[in-house]
Amino acid sequence: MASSSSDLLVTRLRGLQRRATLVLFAQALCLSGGVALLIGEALIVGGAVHNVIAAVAMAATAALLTAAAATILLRPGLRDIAASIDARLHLQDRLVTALQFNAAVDPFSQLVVRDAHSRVASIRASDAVPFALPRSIRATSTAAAIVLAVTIVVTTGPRWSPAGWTGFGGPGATANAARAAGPASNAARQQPNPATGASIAADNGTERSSARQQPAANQAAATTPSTQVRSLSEIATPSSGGTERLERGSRTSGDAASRDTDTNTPDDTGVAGGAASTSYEQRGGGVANGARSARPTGAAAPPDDPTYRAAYGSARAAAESAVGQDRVPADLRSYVRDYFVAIRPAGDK
Amino acid sequence: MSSPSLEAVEAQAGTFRECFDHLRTEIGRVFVGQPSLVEQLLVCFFCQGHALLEGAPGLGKTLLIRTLADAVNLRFARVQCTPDLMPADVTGTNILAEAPGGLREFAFQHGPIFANVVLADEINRATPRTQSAFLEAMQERSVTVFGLSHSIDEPFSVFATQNPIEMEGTYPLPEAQLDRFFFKLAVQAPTLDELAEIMARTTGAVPPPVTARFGSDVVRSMAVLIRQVKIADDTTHLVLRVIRATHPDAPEATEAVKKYVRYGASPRGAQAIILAAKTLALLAGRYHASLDDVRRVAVPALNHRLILNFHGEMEHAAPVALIEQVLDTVLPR
Repeated sequence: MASSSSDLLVTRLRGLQRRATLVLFAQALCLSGGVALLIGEALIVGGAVHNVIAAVAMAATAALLTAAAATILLRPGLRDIAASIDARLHLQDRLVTALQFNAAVDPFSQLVVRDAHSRVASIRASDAVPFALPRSIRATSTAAAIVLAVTIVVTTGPRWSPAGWTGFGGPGATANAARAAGPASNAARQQPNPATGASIAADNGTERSSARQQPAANQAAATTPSTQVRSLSEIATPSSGGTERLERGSRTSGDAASRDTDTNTPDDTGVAGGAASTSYEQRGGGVANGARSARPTGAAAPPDDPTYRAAYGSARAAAESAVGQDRVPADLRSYVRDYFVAIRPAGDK
Repeated sequence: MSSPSLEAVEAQAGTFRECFDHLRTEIGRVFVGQPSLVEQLLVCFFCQGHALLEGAPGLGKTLLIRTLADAVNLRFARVQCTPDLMPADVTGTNILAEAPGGLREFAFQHGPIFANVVLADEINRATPRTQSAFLEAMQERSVTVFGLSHSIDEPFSVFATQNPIEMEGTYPLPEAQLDRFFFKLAVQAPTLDELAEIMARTTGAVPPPVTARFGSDVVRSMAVLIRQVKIADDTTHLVLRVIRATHPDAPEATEAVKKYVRYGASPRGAQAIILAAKTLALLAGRYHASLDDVRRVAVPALNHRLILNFHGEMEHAAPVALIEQVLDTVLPR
């Protein structure tokens, strides 16, 4: 009978040990899963990983492996389980003592084992080893969830642009912002402009570009052609080619526009739009900088040759026409005006 | 020698609880209140230890011990310690006696220390020379007189009392002797209700005398039974860590111990804790001692074993508070 009590006690404790191991695995999985999720999110936001599904799969795999390793390393022994249950259920060290004297045959040892077995047999496994996250893991998981939520909101939430608050984005948020700032922007980038000519479409050579340019044509005439502005900046800056560049201007601008167009092609998916929007923003920044200072930093005086003057006049007319549209905020029109003042031909000063 | 069956052990444990409850009840008929003090005194008695009771005069220290002795069929002796008390008055001495043949020879006259329950009243009034007479008896359970050793019958317990207020003309017990006491128990002043009960009992009709139900054989068998109670190695290890933590030079020592304690508890302290914890376990119907039992007996087992240093004496550091701090630090909650 003593032997049966002893065996039953050990059997029962082993069952509780298995449950404790599962609980430990679940706890470790919660902790490592949260951390892996955060790291994955950071990689996505940082641009190190582009494939979200792959990132999530990697995070899940890492979390599983970490949890399994932690469970193997920290797997509680029978004595640990006994001590834990003693403390949790106030068993007055019954299980620990019984486990130590399990093999002894003296009457007191047998009585201790029998007493412990009668106690442990009457308790529920959920009471002995509750499936609950420790406070530390709960706190860590909560913190991870909060950080994750904040990260999502910050990276995909509405953004402010000169045109006002824009929609949600993610990595392509700036592209969305750019689109929201003016649907004409994309069209303007792709529409044939007077300075660079129709070579955009010619160099691009894609039907999609042409197709996109057609409906935007009417609008493009009345919007700010950022590509034009960029071309003018390059023209106005000797370091970027100056007149020589202007001479092959249509080709250069066309290439640039083609690159933009190519980059913009997958913009509808919202993935590659980031690159295009970045390019756009850099140009926009150039406009703003040019407007703030009388002349772009480090730029020499604009040339005063007829070709530049013609290009300048054409671009300025187009810009002023675009600025006249209602969708351009009034307080931003001065930026365009100041820019053209800054790059006006030297003879006009 | 075959080991007893489980049923026999359970019966013995039941007998122990009955004896304990009987003594508690009988003492409760005479001594009012302080159940914790009574329980600790009985634990000490069943463990065959010696106890030092400290309290102001008139709180019933002597009455408590006297009642305990009356409640068991044991030989009881009382020694009223005074400065002129001689060691021979405690241990006994050789006297010249007349033999049946008319010859005269020395015969050993047993002193009061040979009783089963000895009450050393106001032991700190005895001179160190007399106090030391108790040392061998308490530890070795034997007395050596004129080169002859005389063993003391078991059960044997010395219950000493001392008054902490009147220190003039007293001789504080040497540390070596303090360490021989299993427990040091503080006798508290009674509450208002307890005072009313004391008045009712002592100024009314004379209560019936306490009855003794068992004798020395039962007490001895109970002492053997207590020692068979199990204690886990982890629990023992924690008790030893508690003992170590009372030593100022030990890494486990608390800051207060390092500051106020000169010497910590000896291994006798651990023995007292474990034996007393086993007794409490048996009393609770368990066959193993737990940490809760240890926690309950640590203070009376250790509070007289901490020797304070100069800072501790000057700042009146309380050994009880130091021990409780050690327990909070070492024992898991």
